[in-house]
Amino acid sequence: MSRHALPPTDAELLAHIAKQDVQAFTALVGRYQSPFLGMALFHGLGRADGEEAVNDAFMKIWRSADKYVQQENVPAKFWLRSLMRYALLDKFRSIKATHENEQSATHFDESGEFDGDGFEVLADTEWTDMSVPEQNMLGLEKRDCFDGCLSELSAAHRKTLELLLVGGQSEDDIAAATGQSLGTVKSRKHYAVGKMQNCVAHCVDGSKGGANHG
Amino acid sequence: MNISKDDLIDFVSGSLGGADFARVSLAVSQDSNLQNEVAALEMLRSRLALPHEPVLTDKDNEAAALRALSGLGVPHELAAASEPQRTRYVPTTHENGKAWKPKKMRWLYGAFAAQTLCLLWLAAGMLPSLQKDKPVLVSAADSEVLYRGMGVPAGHVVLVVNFAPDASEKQLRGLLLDAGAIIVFGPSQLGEYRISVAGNLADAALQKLQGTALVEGVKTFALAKP
Repeated sequence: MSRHALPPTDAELLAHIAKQDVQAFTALVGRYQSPFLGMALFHGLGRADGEEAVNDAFMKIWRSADKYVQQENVPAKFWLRSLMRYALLDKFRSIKATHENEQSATHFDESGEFDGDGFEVLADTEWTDMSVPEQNMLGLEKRDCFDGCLSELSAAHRKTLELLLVGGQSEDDIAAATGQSLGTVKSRKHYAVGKMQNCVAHCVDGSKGGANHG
Repeated sequence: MNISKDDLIDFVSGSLGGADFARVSLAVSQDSNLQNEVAALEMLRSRLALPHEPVLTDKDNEAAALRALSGLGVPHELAAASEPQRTRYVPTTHENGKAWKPKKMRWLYGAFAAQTLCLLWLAAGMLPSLQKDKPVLVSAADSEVLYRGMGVPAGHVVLVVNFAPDASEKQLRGLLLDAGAIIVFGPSQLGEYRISVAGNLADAALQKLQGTALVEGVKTFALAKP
């Protein structure tokens, strides 16, 4: 069997990290620092707080790597992302508890639950801002196709989808963040997810190109 | 196992943890339809997340790794060991289940070999064979061909000179003009300059160079016809 000059999978890196392999850890950090920091910034954290949250996530990964259970056909990225999500929630709790930042503390309601207010900073985010290079799994040709899919959504639907998939917010969170009723959020979610899944399937199959999806 | 669309969305967004994550992960691993749904959601998520992901350098990533390791109390020497690594990893025997190893920079060996071959080619006189009308530099002692052509006029003598480190450019220019010499090569890694002097001026130039504190050493080479 010929050798494969492929980079190690995330699961392979995690297996080495579980054995306290610093090099594997450094490699994993190189892969995930930008996406993780992107998650933090998306949630409305500043750069410094975001980097702290990312640092906490990587420390969690180091400590928990031996607990990762690899499932066939399931990339480890989802597990890693869940750890980053926990680190973000911890960071918001920390900010609230210390009252260091009054504005950030408003992300939580009286019960201590995250109320989603921080997402308001994303209201003016332009989807067309593509100044950053490709850093995730999408190829350029598919990117155009997906842009076509997304361009068919209204701003409200796209926002709902973004809060769901990138922000990891519940319907209740999104309703609070956008000022919409829960029913409206559910409806938008149903429409956006259904439409996008069909469109994305076409993009993946290669039977659709550009932004003129019917 | 009943997996809803909401489960998959939460799975992709990273919102599931603990038992829920394990439940959905197991279900996805066993169902190709779920795998396709997750893949589509993940691609969509990637596209939506992209504008929010900052551009980071290798140094940023290494600093982040070291920061985390320091926070974890990983011994300093262990953390330092990661610094020279540029996260170049390839699985050497990926399918045999053996561990991957850092990829060696084999191209460096190739580059070094190519450089050595070029030097040998020059030293062996390949260049003179292409420039037979140019003078040849030979050692005065054993007439071994050392150097051929390279802008040295026919009938000239080449001297190899080490100038004093504190000699100024103005002083050296005056000295070379006085000796009727021009620099044809240098400085080498040893600080040597090769200067060319007309054959009939060679002795006088040599005496001038040897008689000044601006020169620490000078060796004579004669040019002979190939």
